[in-house]
Amino acid sequence: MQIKTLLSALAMTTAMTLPGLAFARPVTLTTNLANYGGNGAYLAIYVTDSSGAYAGSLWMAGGRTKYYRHLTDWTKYTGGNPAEVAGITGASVGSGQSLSLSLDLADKLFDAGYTLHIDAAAEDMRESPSEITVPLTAANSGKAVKGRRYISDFSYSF
Amino acid sequence: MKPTLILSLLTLALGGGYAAHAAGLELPAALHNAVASSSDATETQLLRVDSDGHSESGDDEGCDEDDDEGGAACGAPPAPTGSVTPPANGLFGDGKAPIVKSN
Repeated sequence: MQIKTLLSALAMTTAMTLPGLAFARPVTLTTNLANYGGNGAYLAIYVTDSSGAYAGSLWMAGGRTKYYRHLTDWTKYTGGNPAEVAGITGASVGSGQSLSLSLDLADKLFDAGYTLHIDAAAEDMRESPSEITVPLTAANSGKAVKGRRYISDFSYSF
Repeated sequence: MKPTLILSLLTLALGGGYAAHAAGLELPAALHNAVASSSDATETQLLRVDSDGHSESGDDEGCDEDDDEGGAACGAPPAPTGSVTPPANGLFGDGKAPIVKSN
């Protein structure tokens, strides 16, 4: 009888705990920049939902807000509001360098119509809005997506 | 044409102001200020405003390019990673900022 009670309690606590563990997954985003021969590139990495509406930002490479207006799609969605990238901002990325981000992404983003975007721009060079757009799906994990100007390729894996 | 028109208006204002002063009349405050501030600098500022009313002096005016903090005129820079929790946008499963590696 006591064992049965113990097993029931264990089953209940497991049922309550497991759903919480399944809400997110560790993901690595890797952005390899091309040798474009200019200053460090600003990159805005953000997500839109299945209707194309802005869902949120994941990372901003580059810390001077006055240059954010050159990340034109991101600015269109956010109004250039720095609060959208508070606590998720780092240095710009140099020509030929790589940026690797390890983060826990919510499970709901995958196979649900969400798309990851990367806007890129560098000083005295052309803006490249949504240079990378890739649907967030399990099938796309590990697949490299080619950029057209600043980014050689981008991939995510989990 | 535009500079000529502005010059004419300023001259009229000045003339009217002096005439009023001579007659012992008080000018409205706005007109008084317009008369007092007429200068080449003012005229230059007017000429630099485009048809939308926006200054053509550039949106980086007052921003020091070497100022890493951005300055009040440029807007406060976003908080760097690790200093505050990431935005509560529902994307981060654990609420923690990404771990970044760049080479």
